[in-house]
Amino acid sequence: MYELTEEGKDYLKDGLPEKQLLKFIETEKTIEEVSKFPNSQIATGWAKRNAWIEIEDDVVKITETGTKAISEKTPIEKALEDVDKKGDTEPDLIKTLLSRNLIKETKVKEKPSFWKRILNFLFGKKAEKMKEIAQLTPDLIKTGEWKSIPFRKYDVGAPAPKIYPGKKQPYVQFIEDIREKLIGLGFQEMRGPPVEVSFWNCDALFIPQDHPAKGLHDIFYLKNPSTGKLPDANLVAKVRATHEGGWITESIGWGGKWDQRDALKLVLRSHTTSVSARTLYESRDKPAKYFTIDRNFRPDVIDAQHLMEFYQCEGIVIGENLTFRHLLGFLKEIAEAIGIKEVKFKPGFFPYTEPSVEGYVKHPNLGWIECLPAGLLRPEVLRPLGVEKSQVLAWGIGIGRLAMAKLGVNDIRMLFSDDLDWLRKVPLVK
Amino acid sequence: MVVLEIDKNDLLKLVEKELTDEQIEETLFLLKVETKINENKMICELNPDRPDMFSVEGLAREMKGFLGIETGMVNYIISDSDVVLKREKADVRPFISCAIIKDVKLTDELIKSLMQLQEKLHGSIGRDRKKVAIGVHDFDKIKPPLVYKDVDSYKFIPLGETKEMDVKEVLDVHPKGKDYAHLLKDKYPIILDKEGVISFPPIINSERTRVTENTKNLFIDVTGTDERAVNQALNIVVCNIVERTGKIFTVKVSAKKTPDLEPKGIGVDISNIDSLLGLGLSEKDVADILERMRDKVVKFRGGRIEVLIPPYRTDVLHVIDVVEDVAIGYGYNNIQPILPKIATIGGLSELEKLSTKIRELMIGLGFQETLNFILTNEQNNFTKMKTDGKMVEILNPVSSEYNVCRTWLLPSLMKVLSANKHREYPQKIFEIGDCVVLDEGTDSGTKTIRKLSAVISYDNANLTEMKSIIEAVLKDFGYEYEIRDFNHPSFIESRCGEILVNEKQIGFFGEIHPSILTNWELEKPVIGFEINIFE
Repeated sequence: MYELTEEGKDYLKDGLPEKQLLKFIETEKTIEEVSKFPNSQIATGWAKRNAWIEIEDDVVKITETGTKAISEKTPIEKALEDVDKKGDTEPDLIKTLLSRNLIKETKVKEKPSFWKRILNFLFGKKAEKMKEIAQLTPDLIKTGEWKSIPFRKYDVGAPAPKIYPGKKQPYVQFIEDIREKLIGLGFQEMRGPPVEVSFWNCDALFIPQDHPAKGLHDIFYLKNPSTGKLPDANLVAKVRATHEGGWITESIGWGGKWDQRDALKLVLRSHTTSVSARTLYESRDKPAKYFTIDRNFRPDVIDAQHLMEFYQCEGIVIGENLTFRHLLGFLKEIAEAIGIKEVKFKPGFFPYTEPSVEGYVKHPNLGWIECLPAGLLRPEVLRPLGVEKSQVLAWGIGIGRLAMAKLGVNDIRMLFSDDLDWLRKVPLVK
Repeated sequence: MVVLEIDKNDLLKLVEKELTDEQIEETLFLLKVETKINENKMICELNPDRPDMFSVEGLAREMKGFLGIETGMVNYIISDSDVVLKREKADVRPFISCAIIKDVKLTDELIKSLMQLQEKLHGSIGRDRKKVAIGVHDFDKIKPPLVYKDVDSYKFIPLGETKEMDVKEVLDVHPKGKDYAHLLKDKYPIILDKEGVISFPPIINSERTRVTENTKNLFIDVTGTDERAVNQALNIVVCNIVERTGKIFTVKVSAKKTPDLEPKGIGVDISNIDSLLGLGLSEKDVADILERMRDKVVKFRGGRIEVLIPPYRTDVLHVIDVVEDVAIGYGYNNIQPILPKIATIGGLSELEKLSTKIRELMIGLGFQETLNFILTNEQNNFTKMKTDGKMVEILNPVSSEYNVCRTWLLPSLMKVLSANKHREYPQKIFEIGDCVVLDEGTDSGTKTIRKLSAVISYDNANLTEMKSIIEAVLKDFGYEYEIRDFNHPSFIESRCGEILVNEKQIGFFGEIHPSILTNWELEKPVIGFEINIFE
């Protein structure tokens, strides 16, 4: 005697998965869609075996037999009804139902039924044909029993359930790729705090205290804590003198009075150039190459083009015989490192560099993108920090747009997307 | 960025040469200006460092030089007028400079350009009229001598009005007055002639001295809080007008005559230029280039060039600025990039090295990485997690959703889970990111902590599963760690542990409390952990 398993009961109630699948497909559906159908692997396996569906070019179509099957009661369905009512049905169908784990032997009747199966196995040609291995078990391997039983054929073309691997966030992957390139070019990573003293974010970079880009529309100032501490008095005095009248730099400075209180204000750094300033104060004239790829902040309203947090790829090269041509050389090299061959240069302006340049890269789809701002740091920046003999090449590349181009998204918010579906599906590196 | 609207035909007339749209765009590009041309209308984007180019006349002057149509410095002929302006007690805007331009042919093009120049100068070196404000008058309607002083009260008819108003009333009711009222308090600067007010800087002129199409002679006043900026603005306005029309006359402002159009001399060593640009230029090359950049070369010999910088150039603070002019004049498109030979060894910071290793580990454990903002709000960082504490607060937030820095990562991940309730489970996500906490011991009053946090969520998510993961991670950290019972308001009591290394807590983990799941509108169990990986 047999009884329905939980699965068997479900199928009796709701119909076999392959039948449900037929109803779901209607006439045709893509493999992608079909794979989302519950138990799609079982359903498509059986539907295919029954010749109810055909798979062609990633499209699953219902065959004529399939169309007929939709309205008819199949033998398997009839058998399920039989087992449910009488505890038994035709032996062939019992085999099938057992192999599909839709029925099980009622415990009391276990023994005779077992012997019946052995007899069938030994003498019944038909029975032998039906018996096949679905899951290879340690037992089958050890006993060698597998030698006399055929393996059930798997339809390797049938859609398998989706799994999602653990993956890097795509923007993180992009940043890691650039880091790797810069390390290859001999750059050492430098770091600095995202909450920064205005002195390092602006004053040490010779940005005049009344510069328009220091306003509340361009920099996040802090309410708590609101002020920080200045570095040693000697450096502060040099920066003050340079702002007011040029100090020993042969510059005329910005004129006016430099206000220490303004320099004490705490900000969320508006550029990673603050990290370069801190690094230069440490490293002075020692020939070196440094980079950082880190977050900056600006008071923008978030939309498809703007975020309040953005990554910048900052680099400095310190050395005695460096020229503007070397700066352009590095910009070109970095562009090439991220897969861009064509670069053009326009004069630019930043308060802390001279000569300054804006590099444009030619993207195959988007055309010219302005994204490589750079320059030689001004003497008014270098001398107070203790860089006396060297030139310093500097750049601060906004990598957001390059990442968008690479990832094929046109909304900058996607770089920080919280859409798990997108994160799971976006190909990591193209 | 400063954006100008320019009439292309007007520009070409001033440049005195036919150029295609491409030639105009290319020339201006190499002069630091990005241009879009649509038939006769040009939109130009400029950097703030060259306010002398904030008008069609300024652009034309630079283009003529760059293209070799007219090189060297314009020879400004200045005559003295007998107009006197007496500066009395004027503390609000202490500095004033004036000029007269006679025999002006006032065309529509000039009026439009002058208005745009005035507006752009106010917005840039004028710091929105605080530092510098410019007034332009019909000189023939002014009855000298002039007086500049601060008053408490004074009546006049403002430009565009028909009735007399007191200066205070102007600030209260006139649109321009309301816009700039914040720049004045108690005392009001005015310029008077024999008949009364001609200007109420930085707000508005008088109706009486209005410039019309019949105006032949212009009077320009510039007031402000910074002497250098006031004179620079006046020089730019004067030089740009005479690029088109008129003769310059000075005004005696107290003891000085203004405008002062004396060019500034500066010497540049050829070796200095070469060491910065690496172009191998000769004295002659540099002299030619600087003439094309509209400087006047006084002499060049012995490896040194003496040049005069035109009076409208506000950007030359240092000889390095002349060096940039040489690079621009040479053409950025002509400079061949090269790579220097500095042998250095590259490498990641310890922080990133560690982060990278842990990232690989988490991915190996089947977690999807996420990247979230450091900026958040108190609600997400504390309230929804039933915790409390101090955090970095922004003075000028753009939205109440982002006004503090996160102090931990777990809320960021809860937010991601909350946004993905309709996506397939199990959901296993993590972030390696920076958090900011207050710390009086540092110069920025804060400490940045690199953390790792991860969560698992699905119907059968359980603590055991997560603990296996945490221990796998900790072992790979190489830490000798200890795990103890812990109470944390975000987790179910007795389903929460702390992770200690050398008796110091480096992290914690647990099953998120159902009340917190409800706060995030989550319906499946969540197990999470958070570990400090670098301080």
